[in-house]
Amino acid sequence: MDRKLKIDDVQDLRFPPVEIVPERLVSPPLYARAIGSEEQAYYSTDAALAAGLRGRPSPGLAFFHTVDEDALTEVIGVVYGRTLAAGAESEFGVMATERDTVIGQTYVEEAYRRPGKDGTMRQFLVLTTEFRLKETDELVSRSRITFIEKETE
Amino acid sequence: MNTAHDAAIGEQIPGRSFGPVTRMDFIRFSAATADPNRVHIEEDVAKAAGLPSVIGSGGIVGGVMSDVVTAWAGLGTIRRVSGKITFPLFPGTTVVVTGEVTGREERDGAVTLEVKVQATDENATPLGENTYWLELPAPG
Repeated sequence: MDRKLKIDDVQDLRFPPVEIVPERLVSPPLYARAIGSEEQAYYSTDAALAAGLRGRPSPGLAFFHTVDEDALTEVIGVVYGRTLAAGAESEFGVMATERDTVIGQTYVEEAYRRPGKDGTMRQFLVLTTEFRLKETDELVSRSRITFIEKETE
Repeated sequence: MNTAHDAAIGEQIPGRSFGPVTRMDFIRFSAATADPNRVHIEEDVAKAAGLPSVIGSGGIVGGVMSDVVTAWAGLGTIRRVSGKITFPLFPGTTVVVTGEVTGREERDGAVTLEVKVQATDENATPLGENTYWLELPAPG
């Protein structure tokens, strides 16, 4: 696999927005089991309603829900299992339930080079993904993930 | 133990341990989140990436940290989180999550937490750390 991050070609790139109903993609109870959570709202709609929520909360949505693997690889050069994710940060607005319709969009926020501690150049690509409730346009989440690769040529 | 509304700076929040994590946990998490990264599931892919075995998604480590926070402060209280994964999560690892209140503003219910995840191995290997900014609902 010799593809690298394509930081020179992707400044200001925005992938097309996608419409998602979380329950068609993700599973609150399976998520909760996988992290050992005892939060009953993930397991039961009744418990979620009793807690004042509109339904079971959706597990966090991510960039890979808005950009398919081929586009990620071909357009920006991120390859699962090879490209290192160097850090992440998220902000949250309203909570999306598994049955809400959300609009997600991913864009390249920054793409740059700088030397690492050993002096070799590294490429950084910051991908930001926003999800908003379709009905109200309220922000659900905005997440930034930084990919990093050593420059080899 | 104080509630989130009463906790003082420097106070530890209730942590928890989780594990040992299994390959099935990794598969379950990938399926639950529709994560397409095969390094969490397929041994060949993990080895091609230079890893000794499959690794758990960083979302598991992050999810356990966030779950500790919301178990203490309530679902929907996290406004912002920033952090990093510092070591891969391998099958068989048991993790311990700890958290400390590092800031608060009485006026608007804003609380800041530093949360860490370590393995229970002899080196207490750090696996990840997050800073959380919470907004607590008005008490009552």
